[in-house]
Amino acid sequence: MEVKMDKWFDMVSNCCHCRPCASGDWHAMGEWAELCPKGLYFKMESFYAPGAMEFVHAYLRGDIDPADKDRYLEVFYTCTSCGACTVQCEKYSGPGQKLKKVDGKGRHLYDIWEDMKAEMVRLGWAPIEEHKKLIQSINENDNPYAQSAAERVKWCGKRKIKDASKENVDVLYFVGCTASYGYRSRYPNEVADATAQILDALGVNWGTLGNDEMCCGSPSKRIGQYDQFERLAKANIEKFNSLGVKTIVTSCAGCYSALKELYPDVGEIKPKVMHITEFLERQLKKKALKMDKEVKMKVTYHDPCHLGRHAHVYDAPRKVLEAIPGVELVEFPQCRENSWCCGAGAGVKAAYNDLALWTSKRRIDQAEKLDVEAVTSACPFCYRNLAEGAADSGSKLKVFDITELVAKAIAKK
Amino acid sequence: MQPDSDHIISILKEVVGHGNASARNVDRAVYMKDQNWPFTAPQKPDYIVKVFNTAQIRSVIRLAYRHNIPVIPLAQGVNVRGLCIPTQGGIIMDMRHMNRIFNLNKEMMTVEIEPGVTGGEIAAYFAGSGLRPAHTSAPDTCSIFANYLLRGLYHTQSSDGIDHIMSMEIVLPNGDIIQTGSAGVIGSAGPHGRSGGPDLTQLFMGVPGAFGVVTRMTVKLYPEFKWAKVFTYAYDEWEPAIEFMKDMEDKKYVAHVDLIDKVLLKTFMPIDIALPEETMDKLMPKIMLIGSVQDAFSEERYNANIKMLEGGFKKSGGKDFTTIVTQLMAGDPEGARRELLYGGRITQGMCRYGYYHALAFYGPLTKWKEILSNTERIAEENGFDREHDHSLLVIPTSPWTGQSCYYEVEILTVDPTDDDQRVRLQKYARECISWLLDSGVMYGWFRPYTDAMDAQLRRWGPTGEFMRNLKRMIDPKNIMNPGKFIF
Ligand SMILES: Cc1cc2nc3c(=O)[nH]c(=O)nc-3n(C[C@H](O)[C@H](O)[C@H](O)COP(=O)(O)OP(=O)(O)OC[C@H]3O[C@@H](n4cnc5c(N)ncnc54)[C@H](O)[C@@H]3O)c2cc1C
Ligand code: SF4
Ligand code: SF4
Repeated sequence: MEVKMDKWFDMVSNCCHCRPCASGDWHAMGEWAELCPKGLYFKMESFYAPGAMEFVHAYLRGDIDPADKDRYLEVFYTCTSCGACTVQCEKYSGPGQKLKKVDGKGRHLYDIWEDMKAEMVRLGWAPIEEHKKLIQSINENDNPYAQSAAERVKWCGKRKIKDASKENVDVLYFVGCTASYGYRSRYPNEVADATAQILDALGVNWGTLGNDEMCCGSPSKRIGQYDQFERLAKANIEKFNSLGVKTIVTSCAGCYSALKELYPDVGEIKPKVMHITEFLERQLKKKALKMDKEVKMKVTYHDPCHLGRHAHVYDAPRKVLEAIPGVELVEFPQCRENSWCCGAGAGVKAAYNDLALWTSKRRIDQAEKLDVEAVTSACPFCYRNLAEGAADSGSKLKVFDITELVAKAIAKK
Repeated sequence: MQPDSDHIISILKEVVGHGNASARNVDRAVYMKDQNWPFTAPQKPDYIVKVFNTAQIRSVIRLAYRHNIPVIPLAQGVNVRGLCIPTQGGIIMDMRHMNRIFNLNKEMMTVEIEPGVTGGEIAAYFAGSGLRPAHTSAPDTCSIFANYLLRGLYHTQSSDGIDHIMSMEIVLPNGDIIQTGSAGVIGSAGPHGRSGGPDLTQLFMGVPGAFGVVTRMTVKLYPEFKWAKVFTYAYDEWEPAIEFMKDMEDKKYVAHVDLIDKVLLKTFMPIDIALPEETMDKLMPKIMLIGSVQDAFSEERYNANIKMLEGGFKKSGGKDFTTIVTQLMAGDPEGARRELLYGGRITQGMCRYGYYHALAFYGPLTKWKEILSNTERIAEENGFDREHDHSLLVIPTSPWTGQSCYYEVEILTVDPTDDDQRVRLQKYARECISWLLDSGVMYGWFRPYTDAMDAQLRRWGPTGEFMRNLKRMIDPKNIMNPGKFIF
């Protein structure tokens, strides 16, 4: 995939430093709060969106000093692509309007940040050391976690799961790398298992790609490895379209936004792509999803950035949560468009774990103030970072993926 | 680059912490331009420091004073008129995260704030508390501290006036720290705006960082409104709108009103719900009065004022656009109410067509026609379209400026990448300023914006000399934001 930085010149020249991108909408939040994790962590203006705009402007002017290279890497590779900046810029500033016209289809501020990373890859400045292993692992194992591709399906234990490549299924469950290998992480999640349990309970004719499932390419795109992303996207699109499935369901917000938002630049996916929470909401509407067991718990919901701000899926997860008997949902003041990021995305967890953990601990602190027992989310990657943040800050809060609670609420037959 | 820069940056890092100071080329590029790009030539600072308290500010100032390095205070840096562009290089002192709101004194209705406090932050802090600060219609991301310092326009209630500062703490260019108001007098129970001798607070106001760094200020609070109504009335002609606005001002039954023309109004519509340009053109009236009636104490008085407003409106022959405009502006009436009563987010819309240029000044309401026709003429002579580019905003400001009004003449379609337009805009601004200075319609400038200041200075005479001496006395080495005020 070719990067054309020039197309951003008009946009970055017009950034007027008006700065709604640096904070959420206080009318909606009822409080004044900054939402750019790296901005608030490093505090220097260079790390906020208007600062990054000027970095791109300087680059396009050719105003680069050799000593700047490290700063460019730091400024762009600490960005989680959370999209908080773009929501406010698009809504409240002139350049936001220009964004809507780029490439004839509309782009976002994080597209500029990711293009700049890709440009740095082209220049040979990147990848940064901490991402080299991740890139290599995707090439060798089809996952970024240096786990064997042959062990991808280990998560399902003795559960019998159809192989969508060989058997006829209606729904392809695209498990994703984080949910697949989640049982091996420091705070194991059971997202994949819970999803399998739910799909079975619903009587859905479903399957996975087994050990042949490949990374969706989201991490590659977000860290500027566009060629790697394109290779994965092409292979996945070809595979998806050859299966004859009607629907693809993902657990991971990152996979979902890759398939929905990024793949159309590479090719068309024929099956309908749904996040598991959208799929479950549909089952609720059809009255097919029956949750009989009470899960007595006061929880809050953390909007995954790639599901919320990237794909505008805000209501489905809430509807599913609210339908679980016994669950009481308390909202974060910083929610929906104004959500605080978990801190893990776009390779930040791999390269800047200090920033990733600081960001997630801040979210845990916010949850502590709500007097809830658990933080729920709808993404195994958010789960992982929030669980680590909770443990590191000594919080008693539990962390759950929504599917884990739904699985608890489904009476076993 | 300053001589001995390695030495300077190492000291700066020692003072503010390693990650809070930089002399890297690209970090400096972040501060080199703002909306005034066509007028204030882009220039990089030599150093950036992020400061968090008075002690750090003092150390940085002392270092700068010793080495003759310019210091440019920056509160939130949203200012659009080149006031934070380091024309002669030097140190950008970024105070964005020095943003405490503290020492609330309910009895005296005052609170202390630091430079980085934004309009949105202070609005959110006091919402529902029974007290309120004076709010501007500036974007909520602007520093309310810098706004008070430069004096603004306050749309909560025009009778709040333009002076909200009781006392300030200032680090002078030589590193001395002084307090103004009664805070400087040992033995006073708390900061008060009045004390013996001349008003030092006023001396440091309206000055774009050229006399020292103000590190905290005690500001006035007002009773929060219990009743508030927002209105937007539409007119096809200027005359009835001006007449009605004059009536509101003379009889004082509205808290605040803005006269906005169609060109400006269109920029306020948030992009995601804005309609296509042609539809907006058809839908939007030529002139709109947008304002509010507010009361903190008496529902009876509030209702009586609403009655007067509605009576006057009927007589004026306008159309009630309140529902349409508030829906378009903020999606729902409550959103619009918040936007209009507190510092809003939609004001960013003024940058909707790219950058914008504004000439802001005070003059009598009766002169609106002359101002409109002449600035439109000058705009057209310089290749700007009166229907698309040029706009006039009128806001009554009595009683605190006699019977005068605030006027803002705008060119809204500034494209910083268009060199031809830049040249035309410079010429337009020069001609507008000369016309304003010669025509007898302009009674005072709103802010010390550089383009207008330059023209004024040439005509200042002995007052100018006195000002220059004052600056020399306070800042003998001219290290404070040089080139932005007097010299
Ligand atoms: C779209 C738009 C609409 C606006 N509408 C209004 C309006 O309706 N009413 C109104 O009143 N204003 C309005 N403004 C102006 C706005 O209020 C000012 O820009 C703002 O208050 C100044 O804050 P800032 O963060 O931009 O200041 P900065 O840009 O950081 O600073 C402004 C100046 O003050 C100096 N300064 C800052 N802090 C200090 C300090 N601590 N000590 C000494 N000097 C200091 C700086 O050196 C600079 O010269 C508008 C601005 C914009 C962009
Ligand atoms: S909102 Fe957009 S235009 Fe405004 S400062 Fe942020 S990035 Fe720049
Ligand atoms: S995408 Fe998120 S982390 Fe990146 S600049 Fe925007 S707000 Fe900051």
